Amino acid sequence: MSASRPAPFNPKSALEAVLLVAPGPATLQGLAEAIGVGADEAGSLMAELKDEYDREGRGFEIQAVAGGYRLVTRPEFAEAVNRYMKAPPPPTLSMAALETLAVIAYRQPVTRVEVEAIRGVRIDKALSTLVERGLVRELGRREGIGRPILYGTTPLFLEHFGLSSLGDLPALEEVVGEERPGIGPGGEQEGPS
Amino acid sequence: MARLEGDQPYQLKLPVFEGPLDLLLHLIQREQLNIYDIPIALVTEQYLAYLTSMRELNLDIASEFLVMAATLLALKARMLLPKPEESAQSEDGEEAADLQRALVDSLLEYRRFKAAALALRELEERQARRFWRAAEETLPMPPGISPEVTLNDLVTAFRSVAESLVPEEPAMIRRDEITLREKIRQILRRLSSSKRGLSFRQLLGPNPSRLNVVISFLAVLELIRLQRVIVQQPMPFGEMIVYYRHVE
Repeated sequence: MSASRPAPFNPKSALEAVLLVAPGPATLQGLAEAIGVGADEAGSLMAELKDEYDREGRGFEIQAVAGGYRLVTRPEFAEAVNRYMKAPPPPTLSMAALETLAVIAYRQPVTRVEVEAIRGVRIDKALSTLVERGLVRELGRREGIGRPILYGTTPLFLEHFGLSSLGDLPALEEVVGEERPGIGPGGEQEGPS
Repeated sequence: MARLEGDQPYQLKLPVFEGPLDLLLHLIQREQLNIYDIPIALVTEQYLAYLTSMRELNLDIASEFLVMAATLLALKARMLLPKPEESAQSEDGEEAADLQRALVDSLLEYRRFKAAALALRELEERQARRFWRAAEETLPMPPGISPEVTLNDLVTAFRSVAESLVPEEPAMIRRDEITLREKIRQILRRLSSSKRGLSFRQLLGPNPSRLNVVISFLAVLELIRLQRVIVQQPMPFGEMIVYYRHVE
């Protein structure tokens, strides 16, 4: 091997290059077109690259988010990054907003009244916070009396929670089980019905 | 029978609840009650105790909490009624069962989403520890724009477009046609020279603008208040006749 010979075109490195500059989550399709391979090929290159980063313990990793891929720093280096950026931690959502968001995420498209029925409280404030922060948007209106507005989550919602797609949301029953680990393997007591 | 843990007095250390379902769920979990078979009397008592503490601390109690209190009390009352005879299932008994089932259903449903919200919070906290390059303000030149275009070319192009533009007619912004003060003076002038009074329509003149109608009406109102004019309306919905009121 001679150092002076130009390296042959390495599509994995090309993929890495494009990932670095992509302004948002890059889709496999877009990446594949950029580096001139098929989407399947781009997918396996992505997986290899991700493995390499993980194995080598790089400061960044590849995150599958909002239907694409993005280079992100690893959570364990958050303090170092924050110190360098001198940035205050980003504002997190209140419990009221999170509950509202949870119902919307799992039940979308859903109306305000339907969310209120599940939470048992009015949600106007939480809802407008979520819309302002771009995590929830209007999807249209339901046909019928009053034509109420339907709400759903945005791509930014996926980015905010690091989800690749809505299918990535933790399953509802699953999270109930995790919620009460102290109860033991028996889990829920089933009452007489 | 469930009973209060260690018979402790209810402590005035109030956790915050997102709503009545959240509070109920908390009581049920704290007392380790079976959610499918809630001892309504006990839960109602504790629920109301919480509301009382809130009131003692001068906290606003959202109406939803009160609605739930009413539901619990209704349930409790129905359960205290004597059991119906076996043959005739009373409606009250069925209603109470339905009410309780509905309550349990809402609690279960709410619990699922509360757990989901907590799961989202964990995801959020973890994601908040990741950083990525923000989309840059200065994006690379999009395709289709020739890099040979210089600043000079842009200035020249702009100038030639700007020169070819026909200057637009300046838009006229009309001032208020008349002020209230002027209108009052005008009306007084016209009335003082008319012995028999004038109808409101006559005061307006032909083809009055909407603004003129409004101002004139305000002027007449003001003149009535100042007792400078008298207004009569011979018929309901008929013409208003405005008379000058002579003052010595």
